[in-house]
Amino acid sequence: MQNSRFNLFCILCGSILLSSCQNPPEEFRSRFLALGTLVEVQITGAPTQQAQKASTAVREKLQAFTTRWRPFVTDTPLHDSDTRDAELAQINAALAAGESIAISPQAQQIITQAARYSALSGGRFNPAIFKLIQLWGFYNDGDAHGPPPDERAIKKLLAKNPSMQNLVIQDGILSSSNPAVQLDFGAYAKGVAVDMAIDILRDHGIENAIVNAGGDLQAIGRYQHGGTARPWRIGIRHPRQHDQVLASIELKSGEVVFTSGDYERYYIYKNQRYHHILDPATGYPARGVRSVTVIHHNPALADAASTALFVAGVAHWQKVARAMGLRYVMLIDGKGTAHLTPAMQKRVVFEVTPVPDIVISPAPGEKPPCAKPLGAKP
Amino acid sequence: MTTGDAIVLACGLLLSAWLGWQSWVGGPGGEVIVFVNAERHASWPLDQDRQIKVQGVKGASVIQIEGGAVRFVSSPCTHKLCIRSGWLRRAGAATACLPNQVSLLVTGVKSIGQGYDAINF
Repeated sequence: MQNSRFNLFCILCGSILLSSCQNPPEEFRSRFLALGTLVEVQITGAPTQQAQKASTAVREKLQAFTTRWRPFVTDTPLHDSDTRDAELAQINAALAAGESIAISPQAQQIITQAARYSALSGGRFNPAIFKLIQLWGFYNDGDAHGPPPDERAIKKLLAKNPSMQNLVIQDGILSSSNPAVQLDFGAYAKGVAVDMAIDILRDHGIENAIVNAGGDLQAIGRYQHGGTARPWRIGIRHPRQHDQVLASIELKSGEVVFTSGDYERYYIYKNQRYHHILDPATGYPARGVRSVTVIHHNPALADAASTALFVAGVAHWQKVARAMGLRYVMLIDGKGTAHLTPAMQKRVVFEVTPVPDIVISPAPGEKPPCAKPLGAKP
Repeated sequence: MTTGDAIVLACGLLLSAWLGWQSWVGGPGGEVIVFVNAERHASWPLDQDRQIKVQGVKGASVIQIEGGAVRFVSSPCTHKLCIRSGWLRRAGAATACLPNQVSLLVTGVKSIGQGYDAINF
């Protein structure tokens, strides 16, 4: 009896040890389709079951968010819920008809915040120009291939001057003074969604994770593996050589990296690149910039700002960065020269040889740095 | 043609339109990710030729990898839009058999991710 009890004890101890082996704090990755792109949730230092549960919650939330924030509903929706839950599509239909519409608290928050960022950016980030985006064919289900749209059609849309300032929300009712306003949060919704995803992970007790929505991401905690921990390491892709990392950075907990690039959606027509980042002032793709990368702690702001700085271009990006409160910016211009804020210059390590030409531009409240030679690695 | 057929056909067309812009994106593909029911099912490198059977909601879809590209060879659907979309080879290219809920997505050359936890673009 004594012996069999001892055996049982050994078996119990053994199974506890084994079960702890089956559930080590390992790296967990989940990938799914949402927001019109591939979303990856990467979690370290948490038991697999907990990570799985958290990432499933993120997937469900983001897929519902995608339906809610599509700018329009297809003519042949798959499910009734596709129409019923498509709030932005309903808002756009009401705005086009000149009608007021009751909107959800989430919609109020998104529209109000987007209007604020739009104003701060001097209208360079303008979510009210969905008609222009449709004209170019640069929306999720679109198939833009050139030739570019007729100039008169572009001018006609510009003349109507759709802007976030045309919208008023009072007691939960949205109305517009301009029927040309059609909303598209393509340059904003991803940021809002990443923010939501990180909140969900934290609610599930996850401390170390990256949520990467088609290349735009936020990190919390650190990378943990086998008792060691280090900061998350991010590679920023080269805007022209897609199989190369241009520069790397290490992220502090809670930081966000968003990049807007002319290589994400584009077509070439008569040797000219036409991409999806439209300048609301000209109605044409913004010229002279290949990519803008920003680091911030607010993904929604980072999303809006990377677009706004891209549109602002080499001449005006510092002014817009200041207005939007950005310290960390890297802009790659049309010649491949990297323009950096001093704070950003301290954080990026260029991973290509030769290192691109670099221009350091003073950021808000910062003195211009002393000239010093820049190497590929510190 | 039933209403169901029309819906499936319309969705297929919409998806191919979406895939249209997807396929401009990116350089050569590194691996293909297979999704079943919008959940990641598995991934395979594109530099190793092989044929794979993936169980979807209606039956098995057969996927072929050859010479750095991937395609649907067969699938239990009516219109075979997935097969007609042909070979995918560039990063970002994708196609799907909607009735069987099996989709393919080509991601970038794997080496770009080495040494990094994530790639920003």
